[in-house]
Amino acid sequence: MRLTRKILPSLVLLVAVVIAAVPWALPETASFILPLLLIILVFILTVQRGFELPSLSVFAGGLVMDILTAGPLGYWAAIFLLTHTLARLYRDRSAPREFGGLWVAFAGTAIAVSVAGWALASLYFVRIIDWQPMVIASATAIFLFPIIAWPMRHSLGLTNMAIFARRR
Amino acid sequence: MRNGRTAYSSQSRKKPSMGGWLLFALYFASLVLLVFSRLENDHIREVRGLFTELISPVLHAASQPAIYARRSKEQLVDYLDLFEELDRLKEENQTLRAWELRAQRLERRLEHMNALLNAVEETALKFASGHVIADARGPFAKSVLINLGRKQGIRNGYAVINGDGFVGRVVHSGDTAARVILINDLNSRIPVVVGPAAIRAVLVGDNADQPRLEFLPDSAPVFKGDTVSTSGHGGMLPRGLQIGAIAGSSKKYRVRTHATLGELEYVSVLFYDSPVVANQNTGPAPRVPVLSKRDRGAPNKAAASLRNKHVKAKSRVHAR
Repeated sequence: MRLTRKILPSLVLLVAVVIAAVPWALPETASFILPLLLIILVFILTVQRGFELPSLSVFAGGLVMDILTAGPLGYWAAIFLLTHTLARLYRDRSAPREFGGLWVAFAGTAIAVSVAGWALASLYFVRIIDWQPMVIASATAIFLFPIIAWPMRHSLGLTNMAIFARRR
Repeated sequence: MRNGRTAYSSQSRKKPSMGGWLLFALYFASLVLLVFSRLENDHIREVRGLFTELISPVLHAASQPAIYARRSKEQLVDYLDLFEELDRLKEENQTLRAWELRAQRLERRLEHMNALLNAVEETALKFASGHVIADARGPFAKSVLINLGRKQGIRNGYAVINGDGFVGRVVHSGDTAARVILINDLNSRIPVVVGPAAIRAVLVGDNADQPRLEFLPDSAPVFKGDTVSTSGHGGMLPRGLQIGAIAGSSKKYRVRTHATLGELEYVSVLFYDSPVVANQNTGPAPRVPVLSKRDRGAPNKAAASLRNKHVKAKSRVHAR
């Protein structure tokens, strides 16, 4: 059981990365949505107390994403790590709260990650990258957060919102 | 509870030093990898290719439900539009019959003129058809992974088309999978000709939906709706592959691609070996392609073959 709790989050992340790379025929303007939906996953799996998502798995998941999206190695790894770090900060420093608080925390994380991602991409290419897909994607991720977070809570076999709260 | 919390807090106080260092190391590793990628390090490219090769069977399997879902949706939409589509096709058939007669007349005339000029026939092209197994989107790349590789004779630089026209070219070919950079990718530069006057320009991708035209001569007679096709200059691509039509304003021309780049399913890779490509590729020569045709105008035949494979031939295609 303990092993499952350690391995399951990493496995879920890896499967989600592969699913995100599959051709879903999304419109070009929404091209950034699927990778950012993985941000939701990293955030939830990190803040959740019962399970453990190691930093190394987050890094590996990001690298796989980099390879599958043909982007430079290290980009998604850094973005995932940033999400992981912010989620850990939230988990360790904030008091237990309801889902609304968690949603707000995720919104802040998504915005920070999008800005960082845009800045990193612009630095990489030494030019200003189009920011619109990022804005659309982060807004979509924030909007879709409850739709993904709630089923995850149930699928992981937990019964109340305390899963996101500090262990007592 | 207080004790429990204290115990947890003390535990979390112990861990961060280790976890913190690991996080720092991973951030550092990410940045180092980014720098190496920027420098286009050969080892990075090799590792990426190897991993893509390893994971391609998984992607192939994972893409099946997505393809099935897409087809189901398309079939449902087709069914709903059936009567409207029938009327449109009847009307189009009338127009095409007139064109057929005209084409036959022109073909005879062309044969006659070719005989007079003693013209040399164009090089025959082989092609292989496959489908998209992964779709790479993001700030860096507009590319797809296809289930064709060196075993099918695919090499770097080969042109990739679908039923609607030219979509991109192969940038990395593994044994069983290949990475195709799309024409709207930030790194894509394609020499093209525009309109009936065949004005030369370069089609530049910037990750936007429609790639833009650059290096057009000043006061060039370019109009909205003019066709854009590959020029073949530089010898990397065959000439005459249809790309799209001019859109946008005169100050910033863009090209509305015939192919919907975000919804690629079946594609064909044209085995066009220019001297430049032949020198760059050191892999084995293609043995037997999946599908091959030796005929004049092979790119068009490949496109026609793909059209048949598509579950729907929507108005988007015919409207052109």
